[in-house]
Amino acid sequence: MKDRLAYLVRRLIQVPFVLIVVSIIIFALVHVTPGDPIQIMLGLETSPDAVAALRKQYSLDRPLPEQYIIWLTKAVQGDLGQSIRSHQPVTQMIAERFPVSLKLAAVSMFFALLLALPTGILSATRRNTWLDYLCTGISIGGLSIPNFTLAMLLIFVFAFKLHWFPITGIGSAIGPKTLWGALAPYSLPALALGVQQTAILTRLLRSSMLDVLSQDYIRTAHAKGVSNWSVMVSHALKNALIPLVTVTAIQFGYLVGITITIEFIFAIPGMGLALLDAVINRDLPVIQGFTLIMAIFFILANLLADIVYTLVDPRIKY
Amino acid sequence: MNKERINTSSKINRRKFLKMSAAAGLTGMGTILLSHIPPAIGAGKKNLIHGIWGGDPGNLSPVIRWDVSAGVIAYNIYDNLVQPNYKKHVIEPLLAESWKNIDPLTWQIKLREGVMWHKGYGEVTAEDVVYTWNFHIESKSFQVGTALWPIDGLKVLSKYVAEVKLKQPFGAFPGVVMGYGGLLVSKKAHQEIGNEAYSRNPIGSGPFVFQSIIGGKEVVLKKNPNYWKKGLPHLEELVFRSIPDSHVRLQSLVRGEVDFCTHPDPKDVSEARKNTNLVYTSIPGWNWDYQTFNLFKKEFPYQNKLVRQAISYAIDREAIQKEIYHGEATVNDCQIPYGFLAYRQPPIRYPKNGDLKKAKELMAKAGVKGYEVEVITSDKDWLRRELELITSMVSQIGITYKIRNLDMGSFTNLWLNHKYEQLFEDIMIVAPDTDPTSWWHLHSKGTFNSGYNSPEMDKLLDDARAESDPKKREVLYHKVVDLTLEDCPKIYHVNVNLVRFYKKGLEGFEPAPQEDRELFVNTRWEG
Repeated sequence: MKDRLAYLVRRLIQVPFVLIVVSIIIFALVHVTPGDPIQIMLGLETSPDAVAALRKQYSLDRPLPEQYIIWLTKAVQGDLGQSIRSHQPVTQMIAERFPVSLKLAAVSMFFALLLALPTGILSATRRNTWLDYLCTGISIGGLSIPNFTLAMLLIFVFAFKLHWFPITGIGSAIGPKTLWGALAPYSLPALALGVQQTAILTRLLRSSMLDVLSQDYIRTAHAKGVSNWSVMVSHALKNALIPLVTVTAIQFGYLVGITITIEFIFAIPGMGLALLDAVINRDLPVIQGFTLIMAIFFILANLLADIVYTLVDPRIKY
Repeated sequence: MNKERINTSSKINRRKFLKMSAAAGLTGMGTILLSHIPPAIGAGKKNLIHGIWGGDPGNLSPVIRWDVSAGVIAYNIYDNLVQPNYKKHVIEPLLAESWKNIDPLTWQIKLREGVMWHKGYGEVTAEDVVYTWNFHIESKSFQVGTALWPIDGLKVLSKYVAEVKLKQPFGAFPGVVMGYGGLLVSKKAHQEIGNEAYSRNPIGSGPFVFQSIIGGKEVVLKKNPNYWKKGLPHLEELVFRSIPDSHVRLQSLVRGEVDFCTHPDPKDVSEARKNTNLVYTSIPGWNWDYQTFNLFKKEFPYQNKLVRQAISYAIDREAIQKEIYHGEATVNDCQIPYGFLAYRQPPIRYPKNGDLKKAKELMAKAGVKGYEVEVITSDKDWLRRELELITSMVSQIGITYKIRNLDMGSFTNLWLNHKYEQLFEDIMIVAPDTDPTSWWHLHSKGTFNSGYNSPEMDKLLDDARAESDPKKREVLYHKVVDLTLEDCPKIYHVNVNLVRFYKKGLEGFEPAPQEDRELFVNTRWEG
């Protein structure tokens, strides 16, 4: 426990340095990209005076290093600025959208793990049988279909034709106030995202299980008469889960931040769509603020993965 | 000796696997079907859910520039000073009861009495007019260069009468200043709430009161119980749900998740029209898509107007109407769409199917065999397709368009700084007057001018702007159009129709040719 805490503290100390590097890179990239956010917001018909006045308001008339320092100083105090386009505080935008993306990512990953675990195990334990081929084929299919294509197919079949699920409605104030009403809009987007994740995790787990199942201690366990189930769960799976934990953490971070096409298709007010809007409109405070939050989330997700390792395998020490 | 039989009953074979899958599937389906009760659609509805395009509507304050989709929402929150009557093609009173041109440089606006701001912010008075327009001017807002440019001074004459002094005579005052710049903020509310907060908490005087905006995606408005038009609105609630994808938007309507949608993909329109549960409306829009030549760049052959005319002759506008917009567009070779003063039935000069022979003759006369030019366009998918079609058309007269598709930010940057050779874009006409169709684009001092400098055009535009007699203005604008078609600083193709679908049973909706005007003050559900 002490070791884990010490490791956690060491990792947390590194976080600010990582974030500064990330923020500098994003700041530089965004400012190098052509396009004046003030002009885009005000429109071409605006007078140069109006543009100059607003640039001053957002400190865009200052030298770049000074702009960065101003932004950083405010950011450490929790003020990520204000959207140039909507005039909404960036922190408020994040507070509205982050939970939506988090929920979607959680549902997608839950679905993916629910399918990937049994499928990966089956595929590994029934290697080179029709079951294995079936699972492999489905995995490859899941990886090959672009998620937006799958999304449109799911909408057409399950929403449009069968009326089983709604197409939009995530975050709606006027949907049915039931558990189903709250969960239903997540179903199709989570499926569209989850299929690809299932494929990735299944393939990974299969390969990891095969590696573990070929170890001597597994043969020893069988020889000692340990049941198949115990060998699978208590011995093999625990060790095979370690790479799965890493990938799940990384994929979860990806799902939270960068599912732009799915958010676009299903009209989900998540982080990805807001970031896309911000990039198109050169809404610099939003780009910087959102990217910073996503970076923080990624770092924390990976940190959590590292902690989970030690729980899965107590032999791992930091 | 009996050997213990190895228990094989736990082994999964194909038959068992399939049985288990089927059982799981049936259980799942049953759970879903039994637990999911689709919401009732249409029965006793008092609300309307509108699936609008675009993302976060952004700002909802009229003193800060908003996107078109935000305008759709905002025009149900705010009443304008005036409103266009699209059938009679005149400007009619709304918040402003009357207005008069006292002398060429003075206008007086008399407000309707007894109109109340939302949420208890008192009565709409002349002070609000003066405050709003002064705020625009002092903050150098987007309106300073467009609707409010001629204002020299503002005065409150009485509780309901505001006086406006102009820098020069401006015949388009009712349409442009009052029509485009006529959305007001409540002075009291604006000072109390602050300019930034007002954009997310708008206080208007219109038929619907702002209730909430959720996650930048859904805006809820409630009926204004104190609306000055007695008995209106009929609807209790308006919900605007942002659905960026055009196919999904239409599917949501067909499926019943929304009641109203706009901007369907033109490819989907004919199929959707077969649906007897939907009402289809299509009206030529106040917009155009057009090519612009950067006439600051002197090295290009298109400096010669014969080449520009040749390009215009080479364009088959009807093919654009059919192939790109699937019939949901109106061919127009000039800048004045249907419904504006000085409109004439198009095409006026360039045949709707083009005239390749004439185009080639003009190229020969200009002494130009052909050339390459880069044409930039933004990330609008339909414009890219249209430009590809146009590229094939102009290739027949030896001109090669190299298409450069850019995101809006990069496109605007190049446009603003005139760092392009040629440009292809579409634009919405924001004010119900002919002046913005021409002055901003063709006058040498116009914001959208791209190097075109014609003293004759400048004089015509200035005279038309100053003239208040509509008949005289019409004559002047006819000359403006004729000169535009002669000089071709811009080449116009079509006015895109505004297509809207909504559920049968919705009554009282009047489609407008303005993209941001979808007014629900008179709408109700049948029964």
